[in-house]
Order: sequence, then structure tokens, then C-alpha cells
Amino acid sequence: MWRRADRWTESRATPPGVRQPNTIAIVEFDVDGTAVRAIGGTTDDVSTGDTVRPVYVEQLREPGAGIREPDSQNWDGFRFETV
Amino acid sequence: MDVAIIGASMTKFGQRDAWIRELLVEAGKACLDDAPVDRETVEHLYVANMASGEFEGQTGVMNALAHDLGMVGAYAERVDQTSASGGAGVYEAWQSVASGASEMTLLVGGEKMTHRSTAESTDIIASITHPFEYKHGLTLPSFAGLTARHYLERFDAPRESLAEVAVKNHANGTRNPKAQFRKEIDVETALDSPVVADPLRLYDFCPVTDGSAALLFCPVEVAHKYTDEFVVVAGVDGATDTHVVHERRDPTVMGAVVDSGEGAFGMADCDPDDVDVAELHDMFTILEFLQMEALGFAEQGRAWERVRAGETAMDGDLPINTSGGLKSKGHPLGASGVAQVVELYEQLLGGAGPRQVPADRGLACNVGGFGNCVTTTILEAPR
Repeated sequence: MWRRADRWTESRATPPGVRQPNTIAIVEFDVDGTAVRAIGGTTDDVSTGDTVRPVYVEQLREPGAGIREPDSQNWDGFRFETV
Repeated sequence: MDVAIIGASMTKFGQRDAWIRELLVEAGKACLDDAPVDRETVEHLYVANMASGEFEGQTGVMNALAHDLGMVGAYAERVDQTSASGGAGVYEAWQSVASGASEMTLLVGGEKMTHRSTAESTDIIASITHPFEYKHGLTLPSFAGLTARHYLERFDAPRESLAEVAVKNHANGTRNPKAQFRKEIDVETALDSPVVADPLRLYDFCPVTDGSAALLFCPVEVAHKYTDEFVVVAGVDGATDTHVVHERRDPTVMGAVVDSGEGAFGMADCDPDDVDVAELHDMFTILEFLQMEALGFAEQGRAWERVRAGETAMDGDLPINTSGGLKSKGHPLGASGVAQVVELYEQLLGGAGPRQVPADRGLACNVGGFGNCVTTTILEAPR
């Protein structure tokens, strides 16, 4: 299964509770020959076409710092690390 | 039933001392003054507003405005479709008249934002995102950055072409006394401005804005009783796209713009070539390209060429954002879609002053989220 960075941006104007800068990538996974996209932050610089792997993060942004009610959703997930 | 717009107004956009109730009253009163009707004739009142509760702690703005304008008794409703609340308000106001439910409908759109920090405003707006997007800190500017990079790489478009959208709309804004920014910029200034969401920079983004705008709707046969100065809603439609933005098959195709545009063109029985002037939702410069292509004003991946050729400038074949657009005029969320139609109303009636272009038919496209909810409206001058 390959995981290729399809698009990325480095966001410098981030909302409360979000790291700054916040580098985001859309990654294409190959699942049984079908391309499936996922979006997430990256742990380091990334370029279009880079191969990445997911890395678990317990808290992607600070719950309660922003407008959304902390208990209304979960806050853990995966960031992408360049292989 | 054919529906006319017989009154229009907008406040000065920018950083205002007024709060939401005052902004709505200012535009509402000015619209009623612009139209030759008594306010007692208004049967329906719609208020387009995204987040007065979140920004200011003021909810129930429709009832507040009915009270403040002396219209107690009229049916009142708040319309929230995020950044497309104004366009959705146009759609609802048209429906209220076209259905026969109301013979006189006032629509007022407004937002008070500038008392909040940019980070707070960004978070309020980003609260529309899917929980999976929100926890990653995704914002609308970051979607714009992701999409702009893809567009530039895929279609071999020069980075300068995006800056030229900003340059054009700032130039137009200098001719609009109600615009937030009335200063020209050049491509170098835009390209040297601070990075916001790479590859997009400060001048690729609209500002945070306070302001309000209003329109008065009635059946065409009723309009004739009052005035010859009105425009006709020839087509209007709305559509949605996926809540999760990256699920879309092609990131450069704004599906809800395509769908709402096709609906509006079908209702108006006209084609993109028949449009004389357009107001597009340039919250980010890349959105002007994507909407031009989704509405049929350019082939996919080619809108940037029309902009670079000057075809969308004030003296071009298709002037886009003669008002200055959201980019220069400003973007008070709930007001923007209404203000787009105010600009078309003035253009079609020959009242746009130094911004005037030859126009008998105009199109407005109002986008919520990153294309999540969209309305498209086509207006025509009376024949």
C-alpha cells in the first residue's frame, strides 16, 4: 500500500489551540487498486509526491481552546511522516 | 410568478463602531428609503446572518430587526448558510414572493466581525468543518492553499495569475465608496506579502469585515405599480457539495457551483455567453478561477488565461467583481451574497457610477464554506 502526498500547504494563520505553523497534506492511499484520500497534519516538511506513513498523535489540537465543545468530538488521530 | 427587486442598499463595509443590530437597521432603512413603498407593506422579513450568536452573543436577529424597523407582525426568519447566507437569503426571498406567500419581502444580510481577533474569527468560520477536519486545525484558508498549489501545478498556471485577481479587484474597489479597501496594489506587492497558507499570501485573502446590505422583492406586476426602476430575478438556484472537502473527486471542480449555475441558467433560459457582468465569491483569489470554470465562463484549467488577458477587467468582455469583490469591498459573511446582488442591481439600472459597465444581465455566485453550499442568481434589466 503506498501513501503519497497529493497536495500540501503550510498554514501560518492558525486558530486557537492549533500549532503554528500547521502543515497539512492530502495523502492518497492505494486500497486494492483504488486511490483513497485522507487529510492530516504532517510531522515535518513534505512535498507533492513524497511517500509518507501515519503516526498516531494523542491530541491533534488543544480541546477547549477553540469554539467547539471539547466533549463533542474526539481529538486524537494521525499525522503523516515523510518516509 | 416573475419576481422583481425594487430597492437595494448597502452600508459602508469595513471596521465599524456599530453592532449587528445597528448594521442591519442601517441597511434595512436605507433599502426602504430607496424603494417607493411604505414599510407597512412588507409581509416577510429575512435576515441573512451566519454567526451573530458566536461573534457577539446576539441571537434572534430577525425578531430584533422586525422590532427595530417597526415591522412587528411581519413574518421574520434568519437564514444561515455560512458564507453563503446572503445568497441563500436571496433564494428564500425569491421563494417567498414567487410562491405567492408574500407580496413584499425585505431581505437584510449582515455580520459584525472586526471586534474579534483574526484567530477567533478564523475559528468561528472554521467551525463549519467536519469534526475530522476541525481537529487537524483545518481552516478555509488552508483549503485554499491546498487547492491553489494543486491548480497551479496541474494546469501550469503562473503564480502571478492569482496575484492579478487581487490587483484587478483592488483596482475595482477604488471606484466603490463603500468598499473596505480603496487602494490599488501591484503584482509585486501581492507576491511579497506575508504567507498565510502556502502558496497563498495575504493579498490572496479577503479581510474580516463589518457591514450590511438589503434588497426588497415583490412580484413584477406589483413593481410596475410603484416604479419603472427595478430588476427581475431571471434565475436562482442553490446546491450543496460534500461536507468533507477532500472527498471530492476533482479538487478543482466546485460541484455545487456547477449544479447551482446550471439551475440558474436553465431557469433564466440563457448561457454563460449571455452574461454581461458577474460578482463571484473571491474570498480567496483561487476561488475566482474555480467559479469561472464551474459556471462555464472558462474551460477547466484555463480561467487564469482570461484573467491575464484582461478579459475580466472593468473594460473586458466579462467584467468580474466590479464592486471590488469580497477581496477589496470586504466580506461581512451574511451580507456578502446580498451585496453581490446590490452591485448587479446598480449595474443593471445604470447606477454604478464610476464602476458602470454596459450590462443587461448579471450573475452572482455566493459560496459557503469551501464550496459546501452555493447559490447562483441571475438578474436581468426589465425589457
